[in-house]
Amino acid sequence: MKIGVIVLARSNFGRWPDKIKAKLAGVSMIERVIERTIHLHEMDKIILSTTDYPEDKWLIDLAGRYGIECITGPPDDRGLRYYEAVKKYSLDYFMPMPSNNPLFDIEALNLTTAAVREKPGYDYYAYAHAHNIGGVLTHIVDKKIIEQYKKTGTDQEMWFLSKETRKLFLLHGLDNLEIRNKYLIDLNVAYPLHVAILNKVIEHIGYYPLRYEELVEAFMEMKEL
Amino acid sequence: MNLYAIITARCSSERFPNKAVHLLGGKPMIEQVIIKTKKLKNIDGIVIATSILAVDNLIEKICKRNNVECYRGSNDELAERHRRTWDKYNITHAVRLSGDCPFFDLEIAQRIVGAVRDYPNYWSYETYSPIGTAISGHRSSATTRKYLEKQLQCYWQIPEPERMKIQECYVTAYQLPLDDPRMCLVDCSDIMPPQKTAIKIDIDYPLEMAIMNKVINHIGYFPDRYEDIERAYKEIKTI
Repeated sequence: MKIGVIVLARSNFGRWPDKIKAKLAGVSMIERVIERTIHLHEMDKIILSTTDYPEDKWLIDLAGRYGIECITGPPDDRGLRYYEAVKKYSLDYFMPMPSNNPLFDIEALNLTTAAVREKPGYDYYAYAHAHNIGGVLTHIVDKKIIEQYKKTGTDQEMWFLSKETRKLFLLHGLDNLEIRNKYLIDLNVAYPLHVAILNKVIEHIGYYPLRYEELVEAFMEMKEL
Repeated sequence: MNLYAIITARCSSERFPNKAVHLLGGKPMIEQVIIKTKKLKNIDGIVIATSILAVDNLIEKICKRNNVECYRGSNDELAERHRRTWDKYNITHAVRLSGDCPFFDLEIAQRIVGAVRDYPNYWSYETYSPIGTAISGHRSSATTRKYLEKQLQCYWQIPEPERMKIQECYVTAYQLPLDDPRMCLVDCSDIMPPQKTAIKIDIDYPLEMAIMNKVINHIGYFPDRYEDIERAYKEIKTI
């Protein structure tokens, strides 16, 4: 069984074109994401997927510097870029990793990956229901989901909501209240203010945190900005 | 139909003690929720459901100051507190609001009220958003007496140790995940497309309070709409 994490990244995109270059404690957000994926020790492959556009050439160089795989694909179809990465690296399962999640929970995602190896055969694997959580958890997807997307074509933003399959393996269900109340901090970076906040949090902690619990402590301790 | 807005609030929070009365935009947070809720049209009343603990006396004072009802019940048995709130005011339908979500979008909440008025025979009403696309604070919902009874019935059937755990996590009977075939999904995607809800707007930690005070300072007024908050998040580059 081969499992990979696919980081999608491109410049000049969306509501904040230079977002992935925003600095978190002096290092660009995309580098923070890549560095964090390297801690996903259950993964067989780490793949950066970007576009053929000249403005994304630096991302290809960046992948080389970190010694991770890199693939380029169609700029406007994220689903297709996942498909092409899955196909090229013969992945059985993959973890879609947005480039704006620089503080995802490494431990939870390692446990999710281990669950795939222990109990293969589900379509999606998630540590907990992502109802309230931004930028902390993501899921692992069976390759057939993205193959179906390629065949049928749906709204590219919603490829993971493909109607054909819905066999979900949750490590912690909604009835696990401890987990449900644990993931309350939104660490998804969508706007400049998110970056300013996270830089303050990192400054408070004193180093770039690897554990989600450190972030929770900071959110409790910091009373002012 | 007797349609109320029920706001749940308390001060004895472990993560953030006195959260409900912490100043937000110059007023206690619960007061900001009340002021915004009073702007809702077509509701029959507003009640704040809080506990009998002394620490919540200030919440009651704020209710009086703003001429809204305050029901004080058990701190430990939330389910019972909610049932009694419904009983006391003879509520048949309720829009559920939370004391820690002062930035709920007024137009979306108003649409939920409209759905309850237009289609009163459903059991519950929820903002429609595909799985995984709405982060915390963006959903609005309403419940009926019928549905609350069903949830309470399920709640009391949970064996004692698990039920206590639910209480400790401060999960209300409303939040029990039941299958509900009679849910009215209210489409608000024209007001707020799911992919736009990228900012968490409820307040669980002191830092989130500090962030939102910065946002309000930047905007210059207490926002009724999510788009004002979003604009601030785009415009504020440094703290």
